[in-house]
Amino acid sequence: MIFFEQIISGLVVGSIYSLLGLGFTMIFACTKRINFCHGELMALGGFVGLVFIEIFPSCLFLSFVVGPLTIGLIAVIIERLFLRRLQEDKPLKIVIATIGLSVVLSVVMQIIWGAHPKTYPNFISEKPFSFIGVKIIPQNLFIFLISISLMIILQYFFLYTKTGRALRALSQDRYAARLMGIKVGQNISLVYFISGILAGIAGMLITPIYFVSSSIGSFLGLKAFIAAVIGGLGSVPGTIAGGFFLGIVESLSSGFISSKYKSGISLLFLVLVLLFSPKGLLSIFHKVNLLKWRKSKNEKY
Amino acid sequence: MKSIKHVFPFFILILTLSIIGFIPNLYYLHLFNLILIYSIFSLGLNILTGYTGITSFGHAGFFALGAYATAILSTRYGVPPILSIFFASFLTAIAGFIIGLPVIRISGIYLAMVTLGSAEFIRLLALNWDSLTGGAIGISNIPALSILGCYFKSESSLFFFLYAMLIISTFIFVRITNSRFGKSLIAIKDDEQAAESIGIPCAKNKLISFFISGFYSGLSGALYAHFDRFIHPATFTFSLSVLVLCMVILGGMGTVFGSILGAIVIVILLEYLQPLGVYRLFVYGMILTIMISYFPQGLIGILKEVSGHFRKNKFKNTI
Amino acid sequence: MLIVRNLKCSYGRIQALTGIDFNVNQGDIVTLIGNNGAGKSTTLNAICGIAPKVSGEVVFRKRRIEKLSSDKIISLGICQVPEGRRIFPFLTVEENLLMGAYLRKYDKKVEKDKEMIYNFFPVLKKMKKKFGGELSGGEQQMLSIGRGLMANPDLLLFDEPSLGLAPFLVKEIFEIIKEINSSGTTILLVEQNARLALQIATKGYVMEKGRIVLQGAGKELLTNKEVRKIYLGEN
Ligand SMILES: Nc1ncnc2c1ncn2[C@@H]1O[C@H](COP(=O)(O)OP(=O)(O)OP(=O)(O)O)[C@@H](O)[C@H]1O
Ligand SMILES: [Mg+2]
Repeated sequence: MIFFEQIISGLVVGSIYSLLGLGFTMIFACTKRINFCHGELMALGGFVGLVFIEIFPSCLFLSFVVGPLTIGLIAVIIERLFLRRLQEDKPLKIVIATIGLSVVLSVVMQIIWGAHPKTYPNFISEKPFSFIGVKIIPQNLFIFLISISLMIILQYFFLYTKTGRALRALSQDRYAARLMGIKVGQNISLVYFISGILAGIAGMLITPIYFVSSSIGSFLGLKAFIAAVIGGLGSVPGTIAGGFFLGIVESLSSGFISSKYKSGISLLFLVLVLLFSPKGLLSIFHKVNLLKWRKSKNEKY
Repeated sequence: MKSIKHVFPFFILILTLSIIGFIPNLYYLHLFNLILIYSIFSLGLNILTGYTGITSFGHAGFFALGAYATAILSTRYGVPPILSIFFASFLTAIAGFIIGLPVIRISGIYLAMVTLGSAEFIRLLALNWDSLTGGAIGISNIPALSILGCYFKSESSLFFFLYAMLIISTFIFVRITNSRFGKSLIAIKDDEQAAESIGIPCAKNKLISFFISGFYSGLSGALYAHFDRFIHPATFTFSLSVLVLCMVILGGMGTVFGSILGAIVIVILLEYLQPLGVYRLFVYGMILTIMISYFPQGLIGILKEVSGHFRKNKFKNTI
Repeated sequence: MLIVRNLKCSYGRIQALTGIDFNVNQGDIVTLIGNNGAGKSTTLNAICGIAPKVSGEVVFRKRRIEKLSSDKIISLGICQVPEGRRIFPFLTVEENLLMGAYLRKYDKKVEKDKEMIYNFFPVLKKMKKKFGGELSGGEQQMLSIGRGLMANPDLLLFDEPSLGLAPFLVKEIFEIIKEINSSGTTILLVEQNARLALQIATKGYVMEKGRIVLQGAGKELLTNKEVRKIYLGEN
């Protein structure tokens, strides 16, 4: 049973990794760039959620809408102010710029909310119930269900809406997309907006279990990035699978390997994956073509 | 004889700058010494980022490796510092080569992640391998620099030693970057496929540039260990990698004096913003972001533009 | 319908167009021919609003459009079938067609246009659910043309539609172009295959190094000595 419980806790953590990883993947698919302050945006989401929950204590749902929207807006502002002018430049410039921003954001959070982790009351009860002999915490179930439904909504958006289709077109051939009348800049901003919203929601979801602090952003952001790379950066189903994979592997291995080296191990894992299968460990997902969202053949980075 | 003419002004410059060594204020000397060390470090990153176009987020790892190697060699095995520094630099160069090996298969952000991962790994090793590295406490009482029994204990004697090291490093650096090899690095940065097609062995040259970068970074780390005489893992975190990246980008990627200028500005900022504590990072982050998105040529680029403007105006006035 | 006056365009330091003038009248097929790098694609891109640094005048239906953004220009009724087809490789054939109608409201008319294109290119109907990248070169060209038509343009710009196709397919593509034209769409055609292009064109322009060096009716240019020598490979 312990084994199953570990799997379940892996699934919960994994759903957070997936949700965050999707932000990396969406931006990467549409712009071939990586937004490194995504993790910090998530932490900011946790803090902003905190603020809104204090403002509207009776209406949790409202905070869950306004908080993430705020983060989405911040992501758009960042994109407009600093990243837009680098869109056509070398890919690493955006990485450097966003690394700078991630440092700035985490210091800002530290200034406003202090260095100590913060949390807010649980959304729902923490008392575990038993399901065919396996203990499940409703809180975790809630996180899992929200993440899964967001992923489904996102997948629906990309596959069946006009804007989603335009975003996919943009990711495959920017020149042709412009010829179709797709406004490239606006759509890239939209992608940042969506990824910001996802980060905001993830931040609010994790706060009750992990607590939110200014340093959790880079920590979880890196994990989510690793998950996305393992699954295949730029592939939505791959990223989701990578997130769950990493969550479960971490949760199962936490018993065996000294926790001292834990963060080093996931980085080492990343290095190995990059070396032996740069397209992602789960690159079969590109071949199986589950959900019609693939990388173009000749892309670099 | 033409070459002497070229070198002469630099000679004068170097001599005049060495006056700094006679400043009686220890505090300023200390600052200058830090600048010298970081300049070498910044050169080390510059050859990779500014010339070859490979960004590293893990140069703190190389710095740490150099520092720990020389510290361990000189405290445990009694190797004279001047030798252990070179062992350490060489070791770091080899580590750079090994960490750079993935260039054969991957590039861009993935490679940057590999450097980040290895730096984290080195830091964790330093933190947890207590018997060798002293764990979180670190290594103290690292012997001062000495050549043939003559110790560089005072800040001013250290200044002259470090100053000489920087001049030699810079000289070699300029030689490297002006050579055919150096030109090939720039070609790789501009367009790797084109470089490959004109017969430049890209992977090999990138690896060599990793080697050189490792050497410089290791050297600076080793010098730092003997300068501070106390090292511990908390010095070599990701923020140090950001700091050195900041120097290179602030000064101007791909320029020798940019690296040094970047080191000067950042170290001085570092010192004057001391009261801000951790919040100093805010300034670095802002510098990094704003420089890269608004002034990608760095301070050197800005200076050039300004002086160009100046010259143009002068022209107008004379006509 | 389209008047181009002293159009200039440069990519950084390279001046790709050094001031060109030409007209396209309603209902015509006008062709631009010229060697590689003459600036033909640049001309089309400048008209579509996606070339950098354009100066001069482009007048479409009495409206200056050279400063407009590409989506405005497309909704005015100009659409380009780009060089190299530029199909979205991981969108299905149907989705590719719908992308052509991106700026239109998706309503009955779009559906009708789609059906019309499927009738026009029965191959595409059969491959509806396949990815664009899975089609053959000829099929991709048809898809690209179909995608262009989905924008319901009044002026359709073709950039080397015959590139890389087998001779019989080239003939077919030119037949299609004629047919599109006879259904009322004005056409500006850029071609390397000067003979075929001039045969179907009402008017032709010859470009060289960013400017227009020769112009005339299609048939007239076909008999021109210089054109015959340089572009048709005859002595
Ligand atoms: N994106 C670009 N960046 C820089 N220069 C460009 C770019 N596109 C075209 N050029 C230059 O502009 C000039 C004209 O190019 P253009 O593509 O318009 O020629 P073309 O007539 O269409 O040639 P082709 O028949 O080969 O398609 C060329 O000299 C080319 O080098
Ligand atoms: Mg062309």
